Amino acid sequence: MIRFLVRRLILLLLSAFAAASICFFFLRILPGDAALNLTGMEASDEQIAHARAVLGIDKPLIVQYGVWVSGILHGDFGCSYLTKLPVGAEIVRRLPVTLPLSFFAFIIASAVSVPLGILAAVKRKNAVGIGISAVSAVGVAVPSFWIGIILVWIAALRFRIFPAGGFPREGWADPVAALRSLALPVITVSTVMTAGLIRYVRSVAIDVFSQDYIRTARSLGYTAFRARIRHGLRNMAVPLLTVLGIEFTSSLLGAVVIENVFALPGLGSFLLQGVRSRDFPVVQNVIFLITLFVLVVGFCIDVLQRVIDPLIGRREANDEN
Amino acid sequence: MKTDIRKINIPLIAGTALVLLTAAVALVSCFWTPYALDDTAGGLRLSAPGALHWAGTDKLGRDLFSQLMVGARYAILVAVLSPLISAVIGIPFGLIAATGGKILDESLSYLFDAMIAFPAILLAMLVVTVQGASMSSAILAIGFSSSAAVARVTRVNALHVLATDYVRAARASGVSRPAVLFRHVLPNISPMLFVQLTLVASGAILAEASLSYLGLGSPPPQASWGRMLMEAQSSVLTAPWGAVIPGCAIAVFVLGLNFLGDGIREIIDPEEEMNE
Repeated sequence: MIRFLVRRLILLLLSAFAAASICFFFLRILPGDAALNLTGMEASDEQIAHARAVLGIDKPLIVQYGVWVSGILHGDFGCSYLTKLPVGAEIVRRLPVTLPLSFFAFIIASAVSVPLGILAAVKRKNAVGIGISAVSAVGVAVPSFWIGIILVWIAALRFRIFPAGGFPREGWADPVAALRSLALPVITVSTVMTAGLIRYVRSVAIDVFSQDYIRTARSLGYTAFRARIRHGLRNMAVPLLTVLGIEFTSSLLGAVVIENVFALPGLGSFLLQGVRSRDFPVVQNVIFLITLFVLVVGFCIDVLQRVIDPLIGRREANDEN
Repeated sequence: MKTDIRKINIPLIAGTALVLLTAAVALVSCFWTPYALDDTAGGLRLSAPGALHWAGTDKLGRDLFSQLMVGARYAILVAVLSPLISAVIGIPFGLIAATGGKILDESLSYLFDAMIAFPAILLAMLVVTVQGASMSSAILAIGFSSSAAVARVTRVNALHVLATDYVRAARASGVSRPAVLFRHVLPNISPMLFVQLTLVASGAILAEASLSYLGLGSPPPQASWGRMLMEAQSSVLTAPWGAVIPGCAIAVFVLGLNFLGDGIREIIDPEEEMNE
């Protein structure tokens, strides 16, 4: 276990380093000049040189990279090209919108999809199961932001149940208003996730329920329901954990897009603003943080899997021999 | 493969029909659309669907049905080019991992895993930041980042085929490694690869729609379903059809691609269906 933890931790660090490198170098090796973007095409050579010196992009790439990475390690994410304000502080200011949005969406999606997915598996031959499968098949085929637009139309503009967008100025100091403005975005993100999850849970459940140990339990006098709960759920734990972890990260990614449907001042709108104004420090830091989050969740899942099912490790060790 | 009349492959038929429908609309749009894309001559702004404008008009009075048709053309382009790019990069790397020995295999597998963790839409945003919004940036970024998943599927299935007796027999009788790859491995893994590529295609459609919706996809003279949705959002209360119809178009195409993948999987793996 210790050996596995160390190996997995090294892999996490390497991947984080790789992600940082992708974020940094992808922006720089592609043609395009940040200084020219900021000063405009008519700028004189001196102006451009001055802008480059101010931004710190007159130094060699590798030095800039070192400055950025060591800054991150000290909690300093650098400053926006455009506003000259520290990016780290702006990210921290926006997390209270993005994190609750993706967290609530994840909780709702998991709570709805696991029972429905299992139901779809158990009743797969009759109308209930087929209905659930059909709805979820459509659910994964529509773009998430489209569901958002439709919700704005019906629930916000037509019936005025929830606000169509924005976030209260006071933030969470006014929890009711904050929750109300997050309601539609949360429903949007969780709907798409639920559809995908139901499909996955259904196929895992079908797989587990057709195993021999369920039949054995039935022959020992368990009812079908008890056999599935007692032996089925346990064996579904590991695959479910894996997919829920992936979904946790996709809820964050979904939030990034959906924030822009509802004009929420979160990480996603910050990122979009950065992309539009070619503000490299904003783009590279936000994307790096999201990827880091994905990697850390992946790490936690791998460790949890080992805790739940120690056989995984033994199986892999056998493979290596 | 023996065919059983009682068991009709519904997903395959439905998927093929929906994909062909989109392709047909895209093809027709190359020769004919009810109105020119920039035609505002009717002057009917935000008019409802009717005999004159089958899908209504937008806030400039342009015909939405014509935009939908041209949008199908770009959707087809995305659904063909992104998987193509991911296949061109992913399949060779998957084969290299499967045949290149333990160290190469392990390091490439880690690389695939790391790349899969890097979401396509974020990579596309990196590219757009530098290159500006364009359809080719989106297609390239999505294709590139889907290539890791293709590589992984290639590797797993190729390892499986390489371990079979007939490949061993072929190798023992002196068939060279490249010949084995082309004659035995690739043909045998191509159905699984095709399933994966339909997934890449439907993912690419949705990702490109998101990018276009955010204003990071194809710029205005080109019609794109995602940007139609962005433009329709501000007038969704007075002209909801402008937002409803392009969304349905996306859903039809993506659903078709997903069904197509399911249908092929049913052919490859009838055993699994028997369990169901």
